[in-house]
Amino acid sequence: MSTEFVTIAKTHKDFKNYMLGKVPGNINLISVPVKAFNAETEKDQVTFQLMNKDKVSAPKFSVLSTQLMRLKWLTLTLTPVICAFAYLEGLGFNFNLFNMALIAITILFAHASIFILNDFYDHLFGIDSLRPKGGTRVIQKAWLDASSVRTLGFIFLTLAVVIGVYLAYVYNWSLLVYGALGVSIGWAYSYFSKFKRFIGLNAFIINMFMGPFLVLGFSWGIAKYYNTSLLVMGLLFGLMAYLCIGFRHIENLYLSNKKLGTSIVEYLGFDKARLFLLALLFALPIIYIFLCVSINYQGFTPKTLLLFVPAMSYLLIVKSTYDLKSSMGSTIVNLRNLAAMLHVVTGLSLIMFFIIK
Amino acid sequence: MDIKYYSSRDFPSYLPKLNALYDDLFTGGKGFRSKLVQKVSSHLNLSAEKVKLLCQTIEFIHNASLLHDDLIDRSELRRSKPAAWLKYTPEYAVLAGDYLLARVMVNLSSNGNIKLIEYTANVISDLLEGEWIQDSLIFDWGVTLEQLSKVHNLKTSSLFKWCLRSPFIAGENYDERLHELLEEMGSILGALFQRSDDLLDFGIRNKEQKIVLSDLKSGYLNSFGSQIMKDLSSKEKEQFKTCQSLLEVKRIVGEDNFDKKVNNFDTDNQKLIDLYSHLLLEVCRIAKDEGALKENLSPLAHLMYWRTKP
Repeated sequence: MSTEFVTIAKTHKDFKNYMLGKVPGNINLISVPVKAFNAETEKDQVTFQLMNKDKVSAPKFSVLSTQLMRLKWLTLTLTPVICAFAYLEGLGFNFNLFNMALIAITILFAHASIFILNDFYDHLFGIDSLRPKGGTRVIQKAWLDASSVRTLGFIFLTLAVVIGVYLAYVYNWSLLVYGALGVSIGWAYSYFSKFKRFIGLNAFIINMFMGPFLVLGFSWGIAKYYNTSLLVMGLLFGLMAYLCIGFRHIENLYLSNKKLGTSIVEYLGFDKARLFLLALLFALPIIYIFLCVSINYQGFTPKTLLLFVPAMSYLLIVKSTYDLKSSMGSTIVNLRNLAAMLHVVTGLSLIMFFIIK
Repeated sequence: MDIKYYSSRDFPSYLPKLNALYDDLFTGGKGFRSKLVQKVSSHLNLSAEKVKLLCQTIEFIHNASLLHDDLIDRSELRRSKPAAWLKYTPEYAVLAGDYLLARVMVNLSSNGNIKLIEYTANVISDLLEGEWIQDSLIFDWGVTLEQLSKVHNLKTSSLFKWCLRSPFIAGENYDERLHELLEEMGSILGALFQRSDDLLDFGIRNKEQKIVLSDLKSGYLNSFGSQIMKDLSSKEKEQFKTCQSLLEVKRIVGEDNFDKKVNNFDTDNQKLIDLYSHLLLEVCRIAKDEGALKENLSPLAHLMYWRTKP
């Protein structure tokens, strides 16, 4: 049996339904765009593949949700907060473990809602259709229709807000502003694509802001405390998170389409972007050493050795970036994972350092 | 209609070996792309002169790319004869390819259709971009099907897109929706053609008894190879890279698993054939085709992939 398709203009009355995965007059079918489509291009028609829901071999809903939530990247969101928590504990602050667990769950739900809605909006703007590996591919593989993905995103957002309100009541109401700002930044990152990239620096600016925001916001929200070490810690995590995204942008260079807006990597081109990321990598140990000196107030002790643990991951990523010859191929795919590993290893080393008395 | 798109009178006779090189190059070719141009043009009532210009243009571009490709890849044979760079010199192969591209620009400029010139120039640059990217993927065993699709879209599909679109541009039909659809159809034809070729390299439907595993042996992981590679263990990957025969490949992958991969690959590409058919219906509707265009273009996708008429 041959595959079914339909091509309709964007001005067609059913176009929005098709984009949401719903085929008018047939609830058994799900529609997915098959061709690169972007709201900012001049294309005025889209071809959809129509698939029978029963014939789509989607994984179980629990597996699907996990994929949509991008738990692989949860460490990038949670690690800075756990690190700040461990640091404050080390300074003598006492926290209610139940409420700490609720904070972690709120961050999990907020993280999930941001990424799920990112998937939805990237589908709507055609960005993930253009990039064969963009997003979780849950919508593109017709595992769930776009409308359901949107609903799931808002459910997680609601859960995050409900728990967030409780935590704000327990600690202080500024946590609500903190939460709202965090979600807004996440939303803005998706929506920047609609408003074109800000001189190609949106991802860099957002991550460099998000790092300190997560760390200082958490610290101020629950302990009404901040210091230079926390700020530097935030900058460190922000920079490492940006490196993951920067390498991803290099991976996507071969798909670059000026009408999608540009990241700084696309703006610079492969050769200069590689040098830019190398420069950021060389800035990383400077920030890290500054942090280590500021937190290592007891002088050199056996636990200070923990602070050297990230060195191997760091050297590996610097060498791989230096040797990078092309934006295509397997080396660049590994670099993003190496950057994520560096983030996790650094976070774990710091957490262990703070916990061990 | 058999259009003669090459004549020694088109090139200066005083340049030593140039015409001999072109005689070798143009004889033996199937002229598939120029036939495709003719199939599309038959619907459009273009003058014989314009059709000949289009046929000559596409064959010049295609053969220029072959001259350069063979040198870059160090291929020793082309159409069962020694490649130009080997029979003459590498320098002559490069210059002969450049000369063909220059003649394309001269001929199109004489015609005067600026949109056709612009589009052709873009296609040539896409071709070169694809060649550049492909060269960077040699001995990269982690390359994915998505990355290869980009290369194929530039290297292979760009010429098929040109074959479909240029007759309409030459006939001054610039309908955007029409050209979007033709662009997609060209992408599909190129992808299917390339993927079928990639299967041939693994002995699948290899009726012409071409040499197998030549891509793998020269360090290039083709589209089917990338599908095999992605599910292998590290040890199996190392063994796969150095395979010298199909027997070895099937021993590493498993005979049943190999057949399953072929079936999955075929199923995915059959969807592309179905999409092509759908898009062709849309094109015929917009172009107000009375049946000739559909009849001419309908079998192509199936032919490209399965190498038989439907």
